[in-house]
Amino acid sequence: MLFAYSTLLKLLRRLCIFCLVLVASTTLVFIMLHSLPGERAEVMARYIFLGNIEISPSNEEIQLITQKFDLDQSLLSQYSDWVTGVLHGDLGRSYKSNRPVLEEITLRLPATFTLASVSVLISLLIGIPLGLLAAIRQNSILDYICSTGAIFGISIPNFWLALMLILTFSIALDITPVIGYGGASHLILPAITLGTASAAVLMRLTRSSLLEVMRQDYIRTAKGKGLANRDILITHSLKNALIPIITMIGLEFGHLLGGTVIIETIFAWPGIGRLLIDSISARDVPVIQGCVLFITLMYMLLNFIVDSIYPMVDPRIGGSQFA
Amino acid sequence: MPRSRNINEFIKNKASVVGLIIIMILSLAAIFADFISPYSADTIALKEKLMPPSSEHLMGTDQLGRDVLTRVIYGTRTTFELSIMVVAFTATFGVLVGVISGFYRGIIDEILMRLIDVLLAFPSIILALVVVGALGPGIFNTVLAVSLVGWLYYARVARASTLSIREKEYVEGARAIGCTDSYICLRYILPNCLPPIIVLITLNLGSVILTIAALGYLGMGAQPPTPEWGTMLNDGKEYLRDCPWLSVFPGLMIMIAVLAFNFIGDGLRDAIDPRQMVIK
Amino acid sequence: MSLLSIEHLESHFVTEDGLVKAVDDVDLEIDRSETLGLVGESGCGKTVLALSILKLLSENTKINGKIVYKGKDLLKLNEADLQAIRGKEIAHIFQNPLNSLNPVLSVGFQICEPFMLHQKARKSQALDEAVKMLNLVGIPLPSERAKEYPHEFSGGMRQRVMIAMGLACRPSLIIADEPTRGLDPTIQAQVVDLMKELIETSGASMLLITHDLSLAAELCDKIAVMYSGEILEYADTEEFFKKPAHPYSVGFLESLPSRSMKPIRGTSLSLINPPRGCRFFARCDQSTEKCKDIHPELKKVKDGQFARCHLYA
Repeated sequence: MLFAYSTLLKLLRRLCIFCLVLVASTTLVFIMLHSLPGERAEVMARYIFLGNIEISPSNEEIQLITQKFDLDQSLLSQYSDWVTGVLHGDLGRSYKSNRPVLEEITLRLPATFTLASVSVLISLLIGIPLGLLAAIRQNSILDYICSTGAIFGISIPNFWLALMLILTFSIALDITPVIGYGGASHLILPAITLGTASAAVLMRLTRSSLLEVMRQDYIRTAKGKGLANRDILITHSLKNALIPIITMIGLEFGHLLGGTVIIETIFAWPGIGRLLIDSISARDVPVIQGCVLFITLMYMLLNFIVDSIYPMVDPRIGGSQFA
Repeated sequence: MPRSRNINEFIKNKASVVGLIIIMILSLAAIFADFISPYSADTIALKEKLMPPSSEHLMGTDQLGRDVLTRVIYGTRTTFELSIMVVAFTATFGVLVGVISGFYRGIIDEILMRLIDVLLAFPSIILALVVVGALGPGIFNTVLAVSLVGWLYYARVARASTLSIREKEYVEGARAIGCTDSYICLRYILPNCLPPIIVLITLNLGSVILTIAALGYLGMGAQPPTPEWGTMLNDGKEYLRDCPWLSVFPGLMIMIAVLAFNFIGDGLRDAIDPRQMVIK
Repeated sequence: MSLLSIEHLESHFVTEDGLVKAVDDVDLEIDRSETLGLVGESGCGKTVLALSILKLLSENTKINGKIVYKGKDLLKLNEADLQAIRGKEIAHIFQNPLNSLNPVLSVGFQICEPFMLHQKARKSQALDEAVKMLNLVGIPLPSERAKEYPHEFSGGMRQRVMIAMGLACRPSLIIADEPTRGLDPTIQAQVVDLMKELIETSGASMLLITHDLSLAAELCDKIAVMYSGEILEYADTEEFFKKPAHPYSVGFLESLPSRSMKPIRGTSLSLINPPRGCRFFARCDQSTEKCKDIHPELKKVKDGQFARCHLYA
């Protein structure tokens, strides 16, 4: 009873911190993007009057835009306008497409979600079992191969891996399509690319975590009771080894979200990451704002879920994460 | 801490030694780029564009006829310069903040802890992208963008070391005989932070190189004609089908450099952390 | 009739600095329903000796010799047969209960395990037995506390849990490693009384490892003094405390707070390259030239007392 209450408190505290992050990141981005009102007006003018970002608008056109959209108001009032809008579900309109930002984003959410989930699945299914095996058969050939492979996995730039995979499987062997959105065959290369680095990180952590656990005194106690190695591993070691891994999975989600930015661009995968890149190139400020907001939200949600799982595995709840 | 034993441990780890050698070779290449490159980095020779690897151009030529090997060698210089700049800023600033925060505790420490807790896991590339997107591409903005979150890693490690030392009796003893805070920090705390910070620097260099290359690949980093591995990959991606060498070599270099730093970092960490020392 | 007979036991560790001879040619015997106290300072090798019996040492150890239990040489058994003996015939109660209990498993479950393993009990049966054991060792509200985790117990309670776990399957031999270390004196007394009671009712034998001589005096029938990997003295408890034979034993007793608290000069040796002669030579006030060069054997001093010293050769 007592520790259910303190868990709740801790989760609440976590929630507050995440809200703080949300506010902080969006504020930071807002300030950066809106500090040059003249520029924004110019960008908007390009799109609205000329439909093309390449041609320069005239000064009258820029003036018109500035007045119409109140772009010369103070930063604070613009920010409060935006926040009010967000709380009502209105994230503004894209300069480029003139569609509501919310619509642009929700259109692309499923694609990112699919890619991210499959990538995470791949990394879990490869990383954790290999890590366990490497630890159980420490210093064997299998361990050596896995550990070396893992170092390569964390060193390889994911955009280069993507290019090499495309070169091998799509161009040379012609097994998979090069780019585009679709079913399994379109999904597999981007998912493998994204999942590789995470799999490598998880494999290394699983291995060192299990090795650390196996060194503990309570494992010797279990052996002293007459338990066989298999039972010691499954009943006594795994749960303990999982504790730092769960923390890491939360961190890896963050990296994965960052990775989608590049991978979606390479594979022409219509997700939020690609939207962010495109909107940065196009100086489409409302969309950039909206993307950052959403990505922060997703990151927050994922971490929240991971944090909730944490007390289920470690009855000491304190755990190193909250130390 | 017996220094010689740690060095011995490190040398025994073959991968670390290989990593060290690779980095030394790359550093020499970066420094002496002018002397060892077969061609000049800027020479545009459109008649010779997009040629596959041959005896004259070991890595082929790019879309403007420039020798890829030369650009790769000069790219080493760009990459190393940028990464060292980033790490120099973030390490210095981070360690300073971490030590002060850990030493004095109080509200600054609380704020720092919260910042570290959350910001560290947030995808830093997104922040970096937005910064570069808002301020424009280029070398300076790249360094700024990557440094924005990077210092937190150093702050965290420095703070942890500070916390463990400030409790020790000899620090209390030093205070009792009247040593100033800055003396204690310099003489006792800072040296103790160094080993994990050095490990972090090596490992961090690897990930900084990756981030810089990623920004370059997205067109947000070093601008043409500056040779940078990521930017070269960006140039080469439209020729992937017909001229794969443009995509293979620069990316390979990135991987080799990062791999080398990771080998070194792993070896250092194993050599220094006493828990990892295996009794053979 | 001896229950456990240790003959010429050697437990050596291979390290970077050399071969550590933690246990160097030790002979010991424990009879049925007898308690033997193995005493010595930290680092003398007594824990390694205890761990050798059930082969619970780490991978880089070499064990030679014979450990005969009920007619079988434990060192020659395969892993499966050894597992059948661990926890059932011979139980090891480890030091440091906080680290020796699994933090993510309930205390009740950890006590269940020997029942489920050795008596093929079902989970519910085993849990009943576990609760009975908790009651036996004096833990209040046993059925509630069985669901709790080790970090929710105090130091003394955790020690009792370890004892409960060890005694679960009524072993014939209990190896207790520093069972009262780190406990408050009142708690210590309670644990000692508990152990005495349990030993008497079950009739089990015990090998008690401790550096606390007063504890040994209370619980043990015989005392073996260990130093630098060797047994220096082996005597009936009464004889030992009346008049210890070996100069080291004398010094050890004198260093007690209850006596003069006079320390033995010098420090204990490294176990890597033991000296040629007597290992206690450098710290002994009664040494002669002979002690420096010739290694003494364990010789009978009188009935019920043996010492490894040239004074009695």
